[in-house]
Amino acid sequence: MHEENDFDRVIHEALGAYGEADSGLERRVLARIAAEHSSVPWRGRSLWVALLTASACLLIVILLMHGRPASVPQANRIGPPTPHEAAKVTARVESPATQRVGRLRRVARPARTAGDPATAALPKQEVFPTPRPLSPAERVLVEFAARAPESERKSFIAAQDHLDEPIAIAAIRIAPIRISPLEPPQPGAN
Amino acid sequence: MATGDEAGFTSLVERQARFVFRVAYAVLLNAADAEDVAQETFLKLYRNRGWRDAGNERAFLARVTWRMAVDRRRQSAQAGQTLFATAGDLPEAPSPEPGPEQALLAANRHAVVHAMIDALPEELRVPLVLSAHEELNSREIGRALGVPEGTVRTRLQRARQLLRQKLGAIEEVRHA
Repeated sequence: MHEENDFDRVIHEALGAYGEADSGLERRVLARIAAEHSSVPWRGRSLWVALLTASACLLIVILLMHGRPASVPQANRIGPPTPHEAAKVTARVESPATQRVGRLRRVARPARTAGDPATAALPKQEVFPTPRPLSPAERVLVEFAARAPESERKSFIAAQDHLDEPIAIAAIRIAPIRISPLEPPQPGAN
Repeated sequence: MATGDEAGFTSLVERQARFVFRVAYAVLLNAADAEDVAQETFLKLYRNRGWRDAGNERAFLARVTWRMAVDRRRQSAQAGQTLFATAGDLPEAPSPEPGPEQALLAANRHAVVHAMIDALPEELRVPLVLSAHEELNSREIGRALGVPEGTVRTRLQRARQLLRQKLGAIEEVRHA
């Protein structure tokens, strides 16, 4: 029993000294925390700088996209652009600044005008293709068909049927050139 | 952080750094790793200011440190480093011939007991170390380690019993 108590005492004393850290542990812990703490504001500052830079870039892009004065009036205007305006549009499209902005910026195009037949809005027709008045050549053909005798009309129709056939061209024949031999020069002649 | 908090935290480090180190050492059995874990524990507390709401300071620190030390040990095991003692790794009773343990006993009995504690399995060693220092009772140790209070008591008894047996065997050899 006495021996057991003695062992317990030894164990207790040994446990008291078990896992002893080297001297200065507290100082090292506080130093590391101070080092980490000092680096945190720097990281925070860099984050703010990055955010501000990104915001500034975004603002510039938005201004470039929506700040063009010519784009809005052109869209609502009726009539062709003046040569001066067309030149301005071309210059804008081809300028290096526009190329740098790239896809973010829409390229200015001439506005649609009412006088432009290719782009003017037309009513939708029931028949396609849309019927058009006869051309002068077609009118002459119709008059010819009305006045010409039956045989002429038939021959004309027959000729129309052969229009798709390939054209036959006779072979070209060229007769060989004949040249009479030269006479030898006379002695004494100069 | 406010000046009052800074002062409170500094005071906490000065009060409990060695306790935190001891808990980490009980798990890792390596002074360098234990110090790393102690520093990381305080760093974590500093960042989340968790120490201010701790009811029982030591129990709270023991729980946090123990978890971090176990994580560190798991990472070391995954990296292929030393595996720690299990129940099968307990030192055998010394042979009758005078061996290094006897020589060591002659020089420093505490060092022998420390070697025996190191050789205990972790589930016995950690409660023993936590119980040896001041205020932590079985219930608080159980909370820190996530085991029932009765289990803690059983483990403490088993740990002390094993240490007594080993010490008795060494004493017998010494007096033989």
